[in-house]
Amino acid sequence: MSLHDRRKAPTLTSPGRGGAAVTIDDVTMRFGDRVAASNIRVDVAPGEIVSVVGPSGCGKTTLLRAVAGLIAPSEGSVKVDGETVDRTPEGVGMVFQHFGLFPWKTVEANVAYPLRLRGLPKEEIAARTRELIGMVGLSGFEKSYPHQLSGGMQQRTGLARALAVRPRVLLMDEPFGALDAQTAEVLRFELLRMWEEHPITMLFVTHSIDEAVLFGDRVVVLKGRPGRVHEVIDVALPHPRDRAVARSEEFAALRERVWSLVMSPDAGQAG
Amino acid sequence: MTVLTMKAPAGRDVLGKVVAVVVLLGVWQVAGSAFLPDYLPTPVGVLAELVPTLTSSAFLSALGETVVAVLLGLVLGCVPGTAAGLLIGRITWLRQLSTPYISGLYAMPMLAIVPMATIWFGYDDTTRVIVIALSAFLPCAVSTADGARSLPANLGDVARVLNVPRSRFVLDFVLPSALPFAVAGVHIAVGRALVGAAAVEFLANLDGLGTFILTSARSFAQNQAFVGVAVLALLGVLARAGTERLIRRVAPWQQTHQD
Repeated sequence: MSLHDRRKAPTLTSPGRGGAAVTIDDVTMRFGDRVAASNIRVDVAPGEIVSVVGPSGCGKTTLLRAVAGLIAPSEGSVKVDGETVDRTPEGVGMVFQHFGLFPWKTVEANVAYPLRLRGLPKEEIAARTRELIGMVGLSGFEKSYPHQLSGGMQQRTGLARALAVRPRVLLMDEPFGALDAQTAEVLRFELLRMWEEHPITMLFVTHSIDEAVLFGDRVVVLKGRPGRVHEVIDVALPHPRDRAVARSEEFAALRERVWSLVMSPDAGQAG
Repeated sequence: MTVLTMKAPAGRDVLGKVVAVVVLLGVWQVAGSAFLPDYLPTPVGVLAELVPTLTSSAFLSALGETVVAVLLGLVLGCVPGTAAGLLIGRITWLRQLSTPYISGLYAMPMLAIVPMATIWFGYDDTTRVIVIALSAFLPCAVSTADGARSLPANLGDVARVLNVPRSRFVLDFVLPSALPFAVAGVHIAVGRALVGAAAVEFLANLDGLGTFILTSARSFAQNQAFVGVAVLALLGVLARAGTERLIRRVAPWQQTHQD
């Protein structure tokens, strides 16, 4: 079943969007005595993009790693389409801040790796890899090694690899955080365009408030140490989210609102 | 553009090195013949001795002995050293158990065990090969363990997100990322192996380059001794250049070995 098919399959909550539902149910993350995140509840509907922002140290990356099944919650549970996560579920892709590419593999081999791992037929792998590389705009760089590419191109490779398995959920761990401002801007709009073509569930951790508002159907603001859900903001901006949307007054107003929530003192909330 | 800007400093660099070498040799020649003509080798003297020494059967036999022993010792040391490094790097309890001993032995100069080794294993080739193998084992184990433990950024997470099975993880993640570290281990091992070889030869009077240098020096054939030293140095330089190239071949993304 392709991404395209899944998009056509209507879901109750969000007709026309594909992807899985993610339930973060009262999750507390503890490392020894230190509590990184406390009593987090977030429900992500199929095909929805939920951004998670907050000051550094509020546990947003920890939370994402719990959803990925990389660390187990100390309390509570994470479910993807109703199934409790104890390791990364099938169809969950992740994009990393530092790309996580194999330095010894070409772009092509990096993208093809998840497909090879599944033992797909060679022709199918080749065709799908070509399609993915085209989609992220890296045609012509198939044989390049990561160290020969710019950061932006490396992250395009990382994105293509995450999309290779046709994920139901895409987990983004500050994916543009290591890139220069211009490259990040270009990649943001390209990712949004790709998402409009194949909408899937996305959990988007970022420290950029602009990015959170631009991507999110909702923005979850985490605050305090340990991090708790401080506020959830509905982002009623129209789709597709393009440059025009980013320039609109509504966008500016939402960004201000999220900004003031992130920046307001912890007192009385973090308790 | 890049080629041009790269070439100018490179040319100046070479010129500077040539001038430095010429000055050094000049001072050496003058000082050697002025103050201690019978005790010091001089550049001219070494040059005159070069061909006769290099073609003498004593030298060739010594060179052969040392090179064969070093190659054999390197194989016997580097192969198990690399294997041990992989295990130490990946198995936590083994790492905790072995780290104090490995790093202690690694810090110890191998020369210190040579006198005892000659008594344990005899004044023969066995001792030489064992000392060389030990000298080579440790850097290979230490370096490979580092490589096997430290995957490039986020790659460990990638393996888990993709649910890579254990065997594929070793094959697709651990071995490729450890490979440049393993070569770097051999890079260090080569230098230590030559030191070990020369040391055992000095002490045990085995046929080899070390003994060749020692006997030449003691018979006041300083120039001939120096040819031996130069050949020993050249062996080290060549071997290190070879392993350095190999690192660049197998891991062009690694920036760490540009000393």
